[in-house]
Amino acid sequence: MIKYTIRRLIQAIPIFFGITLLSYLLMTAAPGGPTSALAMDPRIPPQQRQAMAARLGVNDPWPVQYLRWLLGDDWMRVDTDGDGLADIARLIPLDADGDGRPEPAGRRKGILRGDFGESFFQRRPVITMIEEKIGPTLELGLASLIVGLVIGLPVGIIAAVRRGGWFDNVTRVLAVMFNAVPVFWLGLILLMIFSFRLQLLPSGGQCGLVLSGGCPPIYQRLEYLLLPTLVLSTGAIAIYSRYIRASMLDVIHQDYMRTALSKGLPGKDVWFKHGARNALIPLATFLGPAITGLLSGAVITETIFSWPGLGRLGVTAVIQQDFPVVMAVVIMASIATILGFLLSDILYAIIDPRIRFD
Amino acid sequence: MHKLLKALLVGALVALVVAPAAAQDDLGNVIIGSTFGSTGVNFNPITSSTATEQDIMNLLYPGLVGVNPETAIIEPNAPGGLAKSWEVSEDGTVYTITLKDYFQWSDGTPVTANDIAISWAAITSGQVETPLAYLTSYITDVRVIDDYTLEVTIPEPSCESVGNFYFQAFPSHLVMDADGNVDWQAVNTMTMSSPEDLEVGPYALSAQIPDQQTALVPVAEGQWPAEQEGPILNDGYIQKVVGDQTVQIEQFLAGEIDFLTFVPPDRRADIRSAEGISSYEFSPGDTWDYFAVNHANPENPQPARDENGNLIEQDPHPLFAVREVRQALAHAINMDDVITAAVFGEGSKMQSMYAPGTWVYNDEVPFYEYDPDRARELLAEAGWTDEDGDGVIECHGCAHAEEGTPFSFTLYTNQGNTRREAFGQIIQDQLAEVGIEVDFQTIDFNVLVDMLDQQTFDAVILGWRNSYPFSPDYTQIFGTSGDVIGGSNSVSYVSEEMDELMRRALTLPGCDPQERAEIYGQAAQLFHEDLPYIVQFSTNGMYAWQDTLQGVDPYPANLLWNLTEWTRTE
Repeated sequence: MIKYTIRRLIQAIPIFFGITLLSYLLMTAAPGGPTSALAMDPRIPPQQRQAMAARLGVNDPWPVQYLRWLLGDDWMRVDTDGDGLADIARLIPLDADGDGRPEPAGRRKGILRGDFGESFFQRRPVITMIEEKIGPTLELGLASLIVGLVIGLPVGIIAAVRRGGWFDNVTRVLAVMFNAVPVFWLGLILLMIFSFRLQLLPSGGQCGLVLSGGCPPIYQRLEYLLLPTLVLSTGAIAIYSRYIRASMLDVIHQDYMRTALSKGLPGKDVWFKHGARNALIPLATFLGPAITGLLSGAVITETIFSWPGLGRLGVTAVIQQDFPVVMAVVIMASIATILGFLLSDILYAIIDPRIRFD
Repeated sequence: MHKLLKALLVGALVALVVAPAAAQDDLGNVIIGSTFGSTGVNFNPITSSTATEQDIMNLLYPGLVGVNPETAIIEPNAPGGLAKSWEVSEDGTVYTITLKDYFQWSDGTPVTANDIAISWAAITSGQVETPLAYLTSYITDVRVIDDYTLEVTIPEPSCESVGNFYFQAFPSHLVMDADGNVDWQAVNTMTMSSPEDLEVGPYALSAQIPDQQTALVPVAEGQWPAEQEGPILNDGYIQKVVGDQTVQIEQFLAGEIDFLTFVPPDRRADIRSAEGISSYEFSPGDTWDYFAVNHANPENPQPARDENGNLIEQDPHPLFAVREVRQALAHAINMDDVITAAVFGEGSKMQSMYAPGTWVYNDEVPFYEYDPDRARELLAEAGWTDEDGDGVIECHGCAHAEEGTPFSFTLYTNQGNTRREAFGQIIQDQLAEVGIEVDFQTIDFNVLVDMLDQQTFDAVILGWRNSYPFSPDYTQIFGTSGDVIGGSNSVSYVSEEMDELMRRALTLPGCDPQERAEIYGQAAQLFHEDLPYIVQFSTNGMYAWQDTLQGVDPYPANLLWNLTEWTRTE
């Protein structure tokens, strides 16, 4: 298993770079750029907009931009006399904006040296922005995953055991309904009822307003997590319950289940101990992508509940064409995807001892 | 599994019930505002670039010049401005500005001319990436004369020049050595977003939770010159981030937010009828939308002038180059219908680029009445009639299109703007009534900007945001200097007369407002005749606030000018 895991991780390296290369290519091929919005400000003459784009480096050929993102630009523009301005330029022009002066020396080290760059708009390290968002994203993602599994699994198992009964029928209808309900609609309805009409729960944010300090620990602000978790987990409950139901129905008709029942074991033990464990095996394939979703954030839920997660950050960055931030989010999602699928495989082996990868 | 489920559910319930609630700050007399998207994170006035950050920076550092809220004119000694007075040289290009001498940074250092001039030095250093770089188009030099005197030089006399003196105080003493050398690397990386960072006032940063809130508290007693600049009567200001506009309005109606600087037109009736809420409505609001057509052939876009400044003969647009055709379009569109559909009646028709209520508004300029018959007549006179009976008019003797060409074009607007989408649908329907076929498409904003930059479109619905204070100089939008690739005159409207009127109004000796308004009135009349844009309307403005707030005294386009004097009672 260890060998398999290491082999998979090594295989993931070219996949990872392939994803980043493709993402960069697509991003730079998209129309417009980070200075597009300035077109709506007539005070800014077109040549200034061009100059700004040139200084950001977004007019360079995309392979050069990708290389800069990968390896940094401290070797592309080098200051040899210590005046802060570059004297040597490699691959990129010394005077990018055409103002007759060299540009400042490059400061970026590139992601291969652990530097994710700086946001074009927020003017601060992208890694700081990701660090700020990863906590809230994991909070919400984990909570909804747990709620989805804790409710979805028993519902699916019971529905399979009571196949054709009222519980099965009701949960089937509910599953279809919850899976079909748009998240933004459900979110707004829940807000209207629980926050604005009944005033039982907060209407958004990760914590209350403060004049000093930051958000308190999670156990002191669980009420802020309730509604977004509920919204995010409804779809998961619907999917998990139907999936485990189908899997459980396969298991129920296995010989060992019949044998267990005929030996006089209580039904509860047979269904949950023997049946459920085997029915869970296909669910392992679900957990990998679920973790990917968990790390990449939930854009609509985060927007409606003003939740400061990665999803909102990513979408805003794509709209603004804030390349360094987009790429950081892509990296997060790529790593999550690669690790998610690897985890699925490992879980498979843990749940089902018959499976061996070595 | 069963036990695990039970344990988890019970655990969650217990946690909810018994978990100690977080200690709450007393927000009784703290004003709660809101913004969209994200919190500001960079409050460095040299490098910051977002409107959200600007809102906060306005409460942390004074600008070089301030605006008289009553007249909406930049004046010496205005609130929020460092400039106490200024003198203009005889040739109108040098402003000698005397600064107020009573502002100080929170470390006790006085705010001096260096704190303003450093922004200009940053722009011209070439070592700082600053959104203020565009100012080099309007300013030639900023020079420190002494601690409280600055000299700003502009390239040519301009009545709007002080509007470009867009500098805010920056603590130069932190980055400048005794010889005046500046550590530009430090300027580049300072975000000034920590409570420990320096500010002038009236407020200081006290707490920031990314994409949640930014909290400000009044500066330490004695730092803020209350006697000269007015008292601080509340205990702070919190800018709360809300992700969605519907949620924002509901939070306001529920009393969770104290005021709104914009109420979407479809929710204004709710605000008006709500108890415990006051509102202030004004026209024009800060945005206006227009329907415009390309005057030049989009297959052969050219700038208006060559390198020597001579006019280039434009390749005319096959459909829209003839003025009478554009007038026919204006007659074919019922702007009352547009305003009802697009902004629920909460807008004002505009017969030119100046909305009613602006100081240059000329009420003698007529509107194009909605008159489809007159539109058909004008189109027929221009050689556009429907002879094959298919409902679409074709060229029969028109000026620039081939015989038989149907009058059909594509109209674009940006995706996700429901106001403009409604505008486009009405245009499509109403132009169909006079035999014009419109293919209305909503496309990504960046794609649209690319088309505008390259001037490769037929027709577009977009809008402009008025500056504050309002500047009537539209040289870049309707002048030939803006008709370049990437310029703001993307419709290629070429009129030397418009150039001349804009120039005269901008450089009028003495800058008498009444005389300037007359010239801009002539420009509005010319606009009406030439129709660089076909039709346009302004969305009216609306502010709303809870009655628990006292001291709110709004002016058009300026609600927050006396925020320090607002108080809140439960």
